[in-house]
Amino acid sequence: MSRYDPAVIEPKWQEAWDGAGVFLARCDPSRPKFYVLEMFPYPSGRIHMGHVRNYTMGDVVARFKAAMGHSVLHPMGWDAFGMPAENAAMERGGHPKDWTYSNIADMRAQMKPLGLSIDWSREFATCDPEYYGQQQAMFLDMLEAGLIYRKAAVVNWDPVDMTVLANEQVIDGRGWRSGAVVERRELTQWFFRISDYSAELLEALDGLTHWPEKVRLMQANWIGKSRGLQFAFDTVGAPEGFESLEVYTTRPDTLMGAGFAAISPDHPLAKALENDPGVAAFLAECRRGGTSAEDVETAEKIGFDTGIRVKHPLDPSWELPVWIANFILMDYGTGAIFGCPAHDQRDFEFATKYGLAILPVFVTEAAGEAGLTEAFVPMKSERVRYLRGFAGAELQTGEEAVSAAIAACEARGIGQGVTKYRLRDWGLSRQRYWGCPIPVVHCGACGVVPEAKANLPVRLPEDVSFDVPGNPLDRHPTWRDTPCPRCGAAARRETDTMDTFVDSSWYYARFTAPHAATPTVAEDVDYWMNVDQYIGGVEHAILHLLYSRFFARSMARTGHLPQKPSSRSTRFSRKAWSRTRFTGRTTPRGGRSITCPTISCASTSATSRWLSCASITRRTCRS
Amino acid sequence: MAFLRVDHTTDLSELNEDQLQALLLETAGTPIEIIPSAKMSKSKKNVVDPKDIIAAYGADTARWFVMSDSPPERDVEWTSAGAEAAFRHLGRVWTLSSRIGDMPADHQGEGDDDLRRAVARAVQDVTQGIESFAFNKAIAKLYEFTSTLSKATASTPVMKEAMRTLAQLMQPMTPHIAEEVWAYQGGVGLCAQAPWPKADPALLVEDRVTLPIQINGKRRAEISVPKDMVAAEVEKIALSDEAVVRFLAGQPVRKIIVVPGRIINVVV
Repeated sequence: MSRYDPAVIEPKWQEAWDGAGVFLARCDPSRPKFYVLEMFPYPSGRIHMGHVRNYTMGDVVARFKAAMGHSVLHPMGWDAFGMPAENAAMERGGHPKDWTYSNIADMRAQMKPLGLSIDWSREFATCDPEYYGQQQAMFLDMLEAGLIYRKAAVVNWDPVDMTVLANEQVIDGRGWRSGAVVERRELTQWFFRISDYSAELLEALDGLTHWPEKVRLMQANWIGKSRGLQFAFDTVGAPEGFESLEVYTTRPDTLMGAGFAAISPDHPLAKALENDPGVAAFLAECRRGGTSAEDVETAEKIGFDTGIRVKHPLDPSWELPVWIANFILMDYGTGAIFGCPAHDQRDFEFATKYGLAILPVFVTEAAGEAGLTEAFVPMKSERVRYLRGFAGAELQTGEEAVSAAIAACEARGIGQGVTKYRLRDWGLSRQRYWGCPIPVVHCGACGVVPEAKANLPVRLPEDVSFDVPGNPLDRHPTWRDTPCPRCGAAARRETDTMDTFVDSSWYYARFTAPHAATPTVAEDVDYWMNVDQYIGGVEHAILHLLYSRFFARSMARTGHLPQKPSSRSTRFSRKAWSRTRFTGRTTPRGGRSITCPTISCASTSATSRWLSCASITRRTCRS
Repeated sequence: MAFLRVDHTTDLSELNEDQLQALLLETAGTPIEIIPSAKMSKSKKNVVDPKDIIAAYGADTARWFVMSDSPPERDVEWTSAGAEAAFRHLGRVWTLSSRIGDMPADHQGEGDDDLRRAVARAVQDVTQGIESFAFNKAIAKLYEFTSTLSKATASTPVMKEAMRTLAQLMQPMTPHIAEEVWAYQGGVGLCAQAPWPKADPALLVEDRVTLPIQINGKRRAEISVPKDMVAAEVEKIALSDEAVVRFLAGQPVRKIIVVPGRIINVVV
């Protein structure tokens, strides 16, 4: 044996492995299988040490399992759609496609010398028409199954990038990339009905015993189950059609501390009042700034007294003012609340600012009633003394009091107990070029018509330019023109593309039959699914995994994954983490923001994604 | 994640680091570590470029290095010193393989059973480390076993067998050098396709026992003896132990009690 010279031996053995096809994954029912997956990278063009670490971890497991007699699937691909490619095209010229595929070639060339036991014959990029065409086919199946719908929705509009931003892309009311003040606009958008699965996605977390507890908790918080009372106030002086006002509260035990009622600026009642110039001006002010819970919470609380009043359900002689308040979200609960300033910090600040009544409902077990300098918000499990209770014992915990209040209200015919989730439907429309085209056609006669499967993939046109902001698909001279798949008349293609999170929500299933003419093949998913070991950054602990779990269910429902018992319906059984750290500091509000995320370890995905996850981390920590 | 909000009208990316620091100091009231946003560059800890490490030391070094420092959930400091240490270790494995590979086939050595037991323990511990995702523990065990093997003076077949096993245990982490060692020690086929070694349970049974020796109630020494050694033999070994002889300094022993498998009490 001569001197240790890796430059000589490493290429030699890599050729030997390739030549013998050692890492080709074989569907071999006589052997147990093992599916190892690292979160596939965004093709930024450069491999960093975090990638090396993640892929080596996966490789150690893959090689070990192979030696233990398993048939191993260890694939690699590219999460290749998304804004950075368009930004590069805008800044430096060129085409997003060329930029992306050239980056992929560079990264593959950097990755191959690592000697990873990857089955490269299964490689794909999500921007390959063979991949996104199958995604379009699945979209059509999900549309038919009622898992996708269209609705007008208030969205975050970035006036510089000319695109809708996800809530997570709005940071302190500004676009995460452009820094422009985000506007609220109403647009017709496509949505996945993920909220229909809130309960199931939450309950199934209990079965994911191999997942880190922290991740399960983050997901549970994100889904945000709550039990509360939904009831209607009778209104006084409201326009016709608004004789009652539905509200939802998780703290019906504090009803006797009501100081006001408030509605979202997007509430139908607010819109009905918009011909009043004062209301109109106020609503215009509210429309500046993002729509996310995050933005709504950090924005200054402002309100407008409508002059309308509502009758307290427990005492009709007691009237409360109805305000429009910018911190009420239309798509949570009913978009209307009753405010209890003594026991909700937001309501407290609002009441203090506008001189509204602050009535303590309960105090600590020992104390008597005293003036409040801030809202008294003990844990719901803490026992407190009710001064203005109306149900249950004088001394009880918040939880007991809530249950007692719901029961008492139901008995008196005041509303009913309901369970709600914070998880909202997943808006998938993006006004962007470099994404998977949404395969529908708008026909003057037939309306919105799904593209025929025979016409898939709906390919992105290549002759586009990025010299002006906005979506090049919108201004392409011919791409939009297509016959209606139903009546054959001249019609227009949908120009929105899909959120890139869609691409990464099912790629793990596609790796089991990456070149098939259908999204998946029963025999292959039967053998290879689930992923036995999934490796990636904790920054993807919420959205990516939640969306993937939703997709696993949707794909089972549309026949693209086998129906499995619930314990197997989740597609990841174990997860290892590389940690992502965020550093920086917060100073009082105002002016421009800079974000300082530090990814000290593997972040195997798009910049946009880990920026967006950063805000999730912050939000989750708080809740 | 946190946000730093700065009242500022110009593009922050146009400021140099000193200007930015001054601005941040003014805003935050305290110095702040500036980490460029991802748009501009990678974080400081990622500046070690895998390409450079692979060019200088090879992929196996890069792989060994990223697996050895810490458990997966922990951060890793990427330093060139860490890479050099990994490379030196692989060099030692290479040298060891050369030496063992060149041993005369009929060489009779000493401690064959001890080495076999060390192999079995290494197989068990490395397997456990990988299965529990504690790669750093598996690697620590591989360091230890390499050191044991390099000091061993066993017979050629046992040494070669041990070296082949080391190659197999290293294969998931450092597959290229593992193939080279495997082939050099007469391994059949590709190391990557060889079945994972199994630890012989009989070799995992500890057949020696360590006994502490107390003199007048205080622990003064310990000896290692075969588990089934009779008490009289144990007494003899205990009383001839170097530390015990030195401590007794010629004083007559009044009483010696051997509690088998536990302890030896000496009263003077």
